[in-house]
Order: sequence, then C-alpha cells, then structure tokens
Amino acid sequence: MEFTPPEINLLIVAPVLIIMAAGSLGMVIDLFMPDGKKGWAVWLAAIGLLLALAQNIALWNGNYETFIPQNGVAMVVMDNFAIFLNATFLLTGLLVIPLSRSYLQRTGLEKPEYYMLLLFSISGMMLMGMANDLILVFLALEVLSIPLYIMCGMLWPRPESEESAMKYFLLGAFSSAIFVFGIALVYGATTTTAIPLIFDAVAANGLNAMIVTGLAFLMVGAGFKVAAVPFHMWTPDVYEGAPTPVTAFMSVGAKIAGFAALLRVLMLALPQASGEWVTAVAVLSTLTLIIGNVVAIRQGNIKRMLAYSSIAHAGYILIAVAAAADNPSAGVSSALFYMFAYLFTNLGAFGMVIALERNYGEGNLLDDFKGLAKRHPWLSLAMAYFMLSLTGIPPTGGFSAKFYVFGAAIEAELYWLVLIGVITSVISGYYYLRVVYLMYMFDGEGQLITGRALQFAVFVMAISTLVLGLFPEGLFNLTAEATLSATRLLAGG
Amino acid sequence: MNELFNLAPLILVFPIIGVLFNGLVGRRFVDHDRKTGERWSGWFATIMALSAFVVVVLLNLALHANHFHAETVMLWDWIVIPGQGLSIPWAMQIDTLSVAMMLVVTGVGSIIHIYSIGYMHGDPDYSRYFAYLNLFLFFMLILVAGNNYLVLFVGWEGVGLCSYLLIGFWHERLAKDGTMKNANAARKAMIANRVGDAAMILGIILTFWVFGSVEFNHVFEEAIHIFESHEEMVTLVSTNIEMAFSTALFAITVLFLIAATGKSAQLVLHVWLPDAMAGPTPASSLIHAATMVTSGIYLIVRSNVLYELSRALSVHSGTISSSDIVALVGASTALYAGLIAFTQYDIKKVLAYSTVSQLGFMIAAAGMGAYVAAMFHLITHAFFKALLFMGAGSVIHGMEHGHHEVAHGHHGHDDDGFDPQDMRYMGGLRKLMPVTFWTYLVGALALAGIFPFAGFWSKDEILAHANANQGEYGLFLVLFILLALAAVCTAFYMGRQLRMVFWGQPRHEAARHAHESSPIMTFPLVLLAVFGTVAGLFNLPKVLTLEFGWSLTLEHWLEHSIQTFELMEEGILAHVPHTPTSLIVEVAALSLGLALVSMGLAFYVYRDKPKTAADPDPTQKIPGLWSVFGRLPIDSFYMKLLVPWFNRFSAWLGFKFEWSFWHDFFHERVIRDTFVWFADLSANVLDAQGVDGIVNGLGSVTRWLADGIRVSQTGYARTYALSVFLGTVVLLIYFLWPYVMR
Repeated sequence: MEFTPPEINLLIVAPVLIIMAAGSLGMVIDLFMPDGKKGWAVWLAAIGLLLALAQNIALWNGNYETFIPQNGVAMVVMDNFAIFLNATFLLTGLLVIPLSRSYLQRTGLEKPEYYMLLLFSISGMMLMGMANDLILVFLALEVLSIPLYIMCGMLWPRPESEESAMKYFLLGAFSSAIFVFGIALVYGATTTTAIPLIFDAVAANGLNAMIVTGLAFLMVGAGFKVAAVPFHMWTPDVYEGAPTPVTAFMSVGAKIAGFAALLRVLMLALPQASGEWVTAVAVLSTLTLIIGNVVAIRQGNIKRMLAYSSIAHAGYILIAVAAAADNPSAGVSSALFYMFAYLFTNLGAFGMVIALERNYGEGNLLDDFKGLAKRHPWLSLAMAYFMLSLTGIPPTGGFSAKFYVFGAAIEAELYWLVLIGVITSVISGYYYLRVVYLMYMFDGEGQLITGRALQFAVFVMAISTLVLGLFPEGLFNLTAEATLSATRLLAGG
Repeated sequence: MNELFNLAPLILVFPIIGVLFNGLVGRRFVDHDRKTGERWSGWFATIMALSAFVVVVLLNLALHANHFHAETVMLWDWIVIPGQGLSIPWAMQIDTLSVAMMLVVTGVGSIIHIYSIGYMHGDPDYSRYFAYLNLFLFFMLILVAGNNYLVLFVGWEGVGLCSYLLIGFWHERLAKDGTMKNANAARKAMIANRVGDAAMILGIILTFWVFGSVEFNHVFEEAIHIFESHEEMVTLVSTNIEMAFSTALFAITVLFLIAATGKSAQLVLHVWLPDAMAGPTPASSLIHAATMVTSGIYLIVRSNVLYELSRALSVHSGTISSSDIVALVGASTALYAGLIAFTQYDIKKVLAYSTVSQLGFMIAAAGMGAYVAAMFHLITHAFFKALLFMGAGSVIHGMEHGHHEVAHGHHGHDDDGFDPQDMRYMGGLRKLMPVTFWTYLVGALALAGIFPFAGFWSKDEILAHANANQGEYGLFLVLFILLALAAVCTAFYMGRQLRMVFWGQPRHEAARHAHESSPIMTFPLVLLAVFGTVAGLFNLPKVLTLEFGWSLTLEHWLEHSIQTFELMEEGILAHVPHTPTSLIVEVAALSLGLALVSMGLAFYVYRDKPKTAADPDPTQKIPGLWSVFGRLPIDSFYMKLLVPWFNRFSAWLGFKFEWSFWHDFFHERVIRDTFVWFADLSANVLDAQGVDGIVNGLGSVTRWLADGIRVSQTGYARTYALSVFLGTVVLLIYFLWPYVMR
C-alpha cells in the first residue's frame, strides 16, 4: 500500500504548536536553570498563551482545513467554532496562572513543570476543539487528560493528592477505554473515523445497532469528562484532593473540552441520530441537575460544594445540547455562551477559595468564609457577585447564559427540562447564597492571602461577568457565528 | 423651494442660545462686575432677538421670491404611532400669516429688549429677566411657526409659562396688606389660562378625531372636502362613533374660542390680565400687550376655514354659528373692558383694560370674518400698545426717581401711601418728561383712533366691515354699535389718562421732581412712535376709489395664507362677509368724530379735577359706572361666589370625604382591618401550619435525599467505576431496545 503524506499547513495549527513549543522549551530551560530561579516559567507560559491567543484570533472567519489525507477530508478544521473554543481554553489558562502563583509558593509547589503541564493540557483541549476525526478526538482527550492526572498528584506525598490523582487516572482510563471502544464500533459500522464521512455514511445507509452502541459509548466517555450523572462520582473526591488551582482549571477547561467532544460527535457526526440521543441527553441532564444541586446543599467543604456545583452546571449545558437536537443554531450557540460565561464566574469563585486556603487543605470549609466581608469588602463583594452569577440572578453573565439556554430549550419545546432547570436553579440559590450569608452576617477569623496578580484576575473576571450580564448580545453574536461555521455542513447537507 | 427657507430653524436657535447664556452664566457675569455684566447679559439677549428678527426678514424675502407661496420646513418626525395613522411632524409653516406674526414678535420684541436694558438696570435678577425674555421669544416663535395644532400648543403652553414667570418675576414683593400680590397675580394668570388650555387640548383631540390629523393644511382640506360632499355625519377616527359634521365643527371652533378667551383675555377669563401688570413693565408691554395675548387671535385667524365653514353651515340651518359667538364675545369684551378702564387709577391697569378691550376688537373682527382687519389691528396695536406701556414704564421710572429725591430731601415724608403707578399722584409731567410725553401722545392718539395715526386705519376697517355687512347679517348691527361704543370709551379713558398724567398741576412732590428717563429707554419709544404713526400704511384703504400703490398691502399679502379668500374665489363658500376695500367716508367720519368728541369731553371733564390726590373722580357722578364696573363684577363673582364655594367643596373633599370617610372609615376600618384579619389568618393558620409545613417538609426531603445520595459517595474507586458501568449499561439498553424489539 502506497503511503501519501497528508496535506499539511502548520500556520493553521500554529496556536497549538505555540503552546506545545512553549511547554517543551520550558522543560529544556528547566534543565539549565538553578533551582532557586522559578519566576521565568510563569512568564514563558503567559507569553506562550498570549501569542497563541493572538494567532488564534487572527484565524477568525478563515474556515481553514489542514492535515488532509487521501480521502480529502481534513483531520483538523480551524473554523470559528474551533477558534471560539480555543479562545475559551487560552483565556482559562491565562486566568489560572495568576490564580496559581501565590498558592503554589505557599504550598511549596512552585515548579516549572506545573506551568508546562498546564500548557500541554491546554494544547490537548485545543486539539479537541479542532478535531474533525474521531481518532484525533481521542488523541486530544488523552493529551489533555494525562497532564491533569499528574497535576492532581503534584502535592505528593500528601495522601489526599495522591488519592485524587489515582482515582482520576483509574476512572479516566476506564472511560477512555469505553470511548475508544465507541470509536471502534463506529468505524466498524461506517469504515471511517472522519466525522463528515460518518455523517455521509449514516445519511446513505441509515442507523444500525452497531452505530448506536458506538454512540452510547462515545457519550459515556464525554459524559465522564464533563462529569454528568451517573459518570460524575470521581468529581468531588478528585476536586477536593487536587491542588485548588488545578481543581479550578479542571472544573472549567476539562469540562469545556468534554463538551467540545460531545458536540462534535452528536452534532456533526451523528445528527441523524438526534431522535435517539436527545432523550438520553435530556435524561442525563435531569439527573445531573437534580443530583448536582441537591447534594451540593449538604457539603461543608467549599471545594466539594463547587465540585457538585460544576456537576450541576454540566446539567445546564446538557439542556442546551438537548435543545440543539431540534434547534442546532440556538442550542449550540447557547451552550458556547454558557461555557464562556461559566469560565469567568467559576474561576472567579475558585480564585476566592484559593485565596482563603492558608495551607493545603486548611481554610476549605464553608465556615471559613464567616465575616470575610468586614475584612475584605471588595473581594467579598466580588465573591457574592460570582455566587449570584452561578445562581443565575441578573445582571450577571450566569443569568444571560441561563436565559439563552432556557430560551433555546423552549424553542425546542423541551418545557419539562426547562422546568427542572428553573427549579434546580432555585435550589442552587440555597447553597450559593449561603456563602454570601456567611460572609456578611457572621464574625469570623478568616483571612485572605492575595497577591496583586490574584486581585487583578478576580477583578477582570468580575467585570467580565458584569459585562456579559449587561451586554450579552455581542458575545452571543460571536457564538452564533461560531455555531454557523461548524454547522454549515448540516445546513448544506 | 428657496434656500433661504432652510434658515427657518434659526429663529428658534438664536433665542435658545440667549436663554442658555443668561440662564447658565449670565448671573455670574452680572454678579462679578455689575456694569459690564449687565452690558453683556442685556446686549447678548438683545442681539439674539435681533438676529432672529434678521432671519425673519430673510424669510420674508424668501416668501417674496416664492411668490408668497407657503413652504413647510420639516425638522423631524415628532409623534408617530404607526398603524394608527398618527404622525405629527415637528415642522414649521412659513407663510405670510406666520411671517407677519414673526415680524411683530421679533421686531417689537427686539425694541423691548433694548428698552429693558435700561429699565431693568440695577435689578438683582437682571440676567434671569433676560433669560425669561428670550425664552418667551423662543416659545412664541414655536407657536406662530408650527404647522400643526400640537406644535402650536407647545408654544402656547410655553408662552404661558413665560408669562407666569415674568408676572411673578418679583414674586417676593408684598402688597400693602401683606398678601403676596405678585405671586398671586402669577398664579391667577396660570389658573385662568388653564381653563382655556383645557379647552385647547379638547379642541385638538376632537380635531384629530374628526379629521384624522392635526396639521393645519390636512385639517382644512379635509374639512372643505367634507363640506363639499355635503356629508351630514362624520365617523370619529379609530372609533365607531358618528357625529354630525356641523356639531363637530361647532364644538371644535367653540373650544378654540374658549382657548382664545383664556390666552387673549376675553370675557369671562380676562380677569388675569389686569393683575398681570405686577410684572416688570417691559414684560407687560411685550407679553401682555403686543404679542402673547394676541395668540388667541392668531389661532382663530389660522383656523379661519373652520370658522367660515361653521358660518356657512349655520346660514343654511338658521342657527347661531360659532363665528357669531366669537364676534359677540369680542365685542362685549371690548365694551366691558372699556367701561372698566374709566374707573382705574393705576396707569398700567388703564392700559391693561384697554388691551383687553382692543383684543376684543380683534376677536370681534375675526368673528365677523374680517381676518385681515383683525391682523391689521393686531399689528398696529402691537406697536402703539407696546409704546404706551413702555411710556408708562418711563413715567413710573420718573415718578420713582422723583420720590427717591423727595425722600432724601425730607426725612420721614415716606408714609403717605405713595404709589408711583397711581395717576392721582401725577400731573404736569408734560414739561418734565418731554420725550415720554410726545411719544405717549402719539400712542394715545393711535389707540383712540385719531386720524392719521395707525389705530385709526385698523379700527376703522373693523367698523366699516361691521357696517358694510349688517344688511346680510343682522347681528352685525349689534356688533357695530357695541364696537362703536367701545371706541368712544377708548377715546374717553385715554383722554382722561393724558390729562391726569401730563397736564395740570403735580398732585404729589414726587411728580414735581420727576425727570426724563435715559436715552436707552427713550430711543425705543421714539422708534415705536414712528411705527405707531405710519403703521396704517400697511393696509391703507383705497381712498375715494383711487388706488395708491400703497393701499391694501397687508390684504394682498395675507390672502395667500387665509384660505377663506381662495374658497370664496372658487365659489365653495358663497356667504362670506366682505370687507370694503375703499375708505367708507361715513363710517370714518363717524368714528373719528366720536373719538374726537369723546376725547375732548374727557379733557373738559378732567380740566381741573381731581385737584388733589384725595379728590373723587368726576365720573363717579355717572350712575352705575363706578358702582358696577368699578367693582369689577366678574372678578367679584369669582372671588365672592366661585372661590368660596370651591374652597368649601375642597374642604369637604379634603376633610370629610378624603379624611373622615376614605381614610378613617374606608381604609382604616374596611381595608386595613380586613387585611389584618386576613393576614392574621394566613400567617398564623394557613402559613405557619399549612405552607411552612409543606416548605419545611420539602426542605427535609431534599436534605434527606442529599444525605442518602451522599452515602453512596463511598470514596472507593470501584464504587465509582460501578456507577459508570451501570450508567453505560442503561444507556446501551436504551439505545439498543428498538433494535432488540425489531
């Protein structure tokens, strides 16, 4: 068999290459740097992320394709959908870095590899957004996951951290296996892994048992990454045990990457099966919403509470995915909007948790928030605002996001799902507002340890949340364009 | 369209710049340096007024170039309700009628601005005064320039506001009995005008209902259309209500008449105008004599089509038309106010009642269909009445200065109740204030209708009109008699005033020491005196059938915007009273003779009376005059009957109905107690036992559920893997079920 090299244009994948190059460069530099000097890694990572972001934005509206093998279907697409997701991942990275710095210093974790692993994980996430081939999706999944396993365990020899890493790795491997099995089954049924070709094959031959089995397995793999019930059980343990900045990063980046995979599979590869998967997604969403929100009420540890909160938010995004079955443009764009708004709000909340954590594991209880408002009025105000946003009270980005998601679901006539979403939002008010209540109504000893970088990042996130709450149209138009570029095949086909 | 028309918005821009300057920074200028500050403040406002005047002159030229055809300058859409057919533009109608008004407003306005610079000298609120004056110009120009009733109404209300502000300009001044004289006068004007304005709003609404538009041209076209098609009934816009066209027309025109009686001080809403003299004299001169009070006449002349159609319909049916009512109201007011003027001692109040009387002439003229004559009298009156007021202001100024000097010379001589406006303290000012005297004389002769001054021509045209048409319209004979008597009154009270103020011996030390006002005040007097003399040229009748190039200028000018003329020519309106175009010698001789005799009589009666300030007035011997008109019957009616009853009713509403019944009984007993009972029931019974139980129960269930699920979170990775596995199995079953069942 003759091998023809695929057509490759490296400029198109430059954002990923920049991140990977920065990571590799850091590894090499570390070898030659004396142990005392560690500050450079932060700057290297930040500059790498900024460069990648710039190049990424420059590709907007390009609809590029590359890595085109013989069959003519590109493995990597750089459409607006991918660019929007890439921007989300890069912003996540850029915001996690200032949140991490002082925490890493006081827990003795300040090692260049932390930042390098962060970069590698982000490169995996970006690949996930750009993937147009299930093989590449799987590759991306692994590239993003493996650095996360390591980062979760970076606080060794503390047992909680090691336990977190071990559980995440074991269960992650388990779900990856299921996911790759799903790919295999789909390949078996359609003789291809290229997403557009799967679409064509289904269009030509219809569904069969093999494909839907593969679909179920793919949903399990993605469901694990986004922490949807019942594939969520690792989440509280892993979030609690991992270093808090890593938790913050996982709760946003990994979740969004998981949804990227899910959207690619459901919306682009198998939209003809939407009649099959819409109910499954809706049921997953319902379970996720109820379990996530209800159990969060009884958590005394803020990290565990936010873990359940992140499960619950996966439920809301799943509403948007379910709506996308009937109404692709509104569903997908509202999901993108939700993830973007969630990025700022959730990282902001984690920023406060990081600032409150004196030493690893100390100051993670909800009671530690008591009386913070008196000593740190501005940061407490920001925290209260993030809590309002997570609850979905206007004028916050969280409200705008829920508004669009529920709107899309109503258009898709998923009324009962909206009803559950609204009821669980009300329930979520109970545990979110409790944080506000504790901060403002009690006296306490808690102290925040904040650097200027962290304060600045929290400020930026609060403002972004406010802007998204007041003027959501601008971003929503972007998400609509992103959706349009990804679903243009659907519209055309 | 001539490009000059595009300048039209500037007539509003200049005054508003003046308002902003004097309103925002003028005071700082004046407070910082009195002398230069006053100069800046006063001249800035004056230059803005003059600039507006220049623009109006340019618009006039544009009209000439346009062969006198009206142009509409659209500024923007103002009120638009799509789907309801409601679209009211903010547009300016530049036609001969509006430009004639604008010329008067800005021309006389500018002269009065100049006069005010001198008159207001030293006033602590110098710049506020000029801000109001410019604001008045702004609104007055909106009023006359608007192309629809609603824009007109904006100006209408705006000038009312300025009038209120200027009457109350010295609102802190108290009367001798301690009442807030000026503030009360301002409120009185506001309240009397409210009545008219309410009618105006109703009239506009009804106009829209009947004709579907408030734009002058649309309304008139539609009215003519309905008239021509002989439709009896009209359907109100957006309703199913049908209304007789004649009734609708009658209602609209009468409502507009009521509006005009408010603004133009006609019976029975005239009571505010004499009190309005509490304001600064130049403001009285501009607003309460020359311009604002004529807006009622403008409204009627502008609506001439509606009034003439009403007349035509009533000729048909033999009922009284709204035009007849207009004319009757005007003529009665003319005579009534003329009689009251006999009994006034305040130099400005005599002029105020004279204004009411002359406005009555104009209204009567408009009601008789003599629209050009009405406008003619409006214009000449603007000149000579502004002149008289400013002359009176000059006299008052002189008296005050004289009093000042006396008070300085003789200490403790200040307690005789001296009033600088009271004619009983004046006398012999002819020699002391020569410029004021001569100009005042011109104004008085013009007002009395003495040949060849302006008032003679305009008044004569009205009388001639009434005379010429009395064969066809029986009512016009009554009107003619009323107006002729009013003209006699005018000549008499002006003779009385001239005699008391300028001739004889001074009846007070202050009058002995009075002296002439400064040139900045006398110059405008001279200017207006010239106009007061020659303004008759604007509409000179053809004398003895000879036509001079000058004659009937105003008529030729205005016939382009008074559609009645057009309708006459087209034969749509058959019965329109004609104004004689040539001089009717009999009528002219009669009115001149009556005026001369009456004035001479006044000079004779007041030749040596009153000798001192305390002497009674000679006319008090005439039975009924002082006992009826001297007591201001309508004011008395309002104050003795209407106001007390109104107050009693208000008190009943306030204390009995609102407080005792509505608050104490209804709210406290019925609503509050019921509410308390219900709240008690719902809080202690329904809520505490019912709802709380459910909510707490729900909370417990949620917590129990949470605890239950939490137990499954064992911490063992195998449990978690099992969960994933089970989830996968369930999903598989769901997805494969249809294939298995197949």
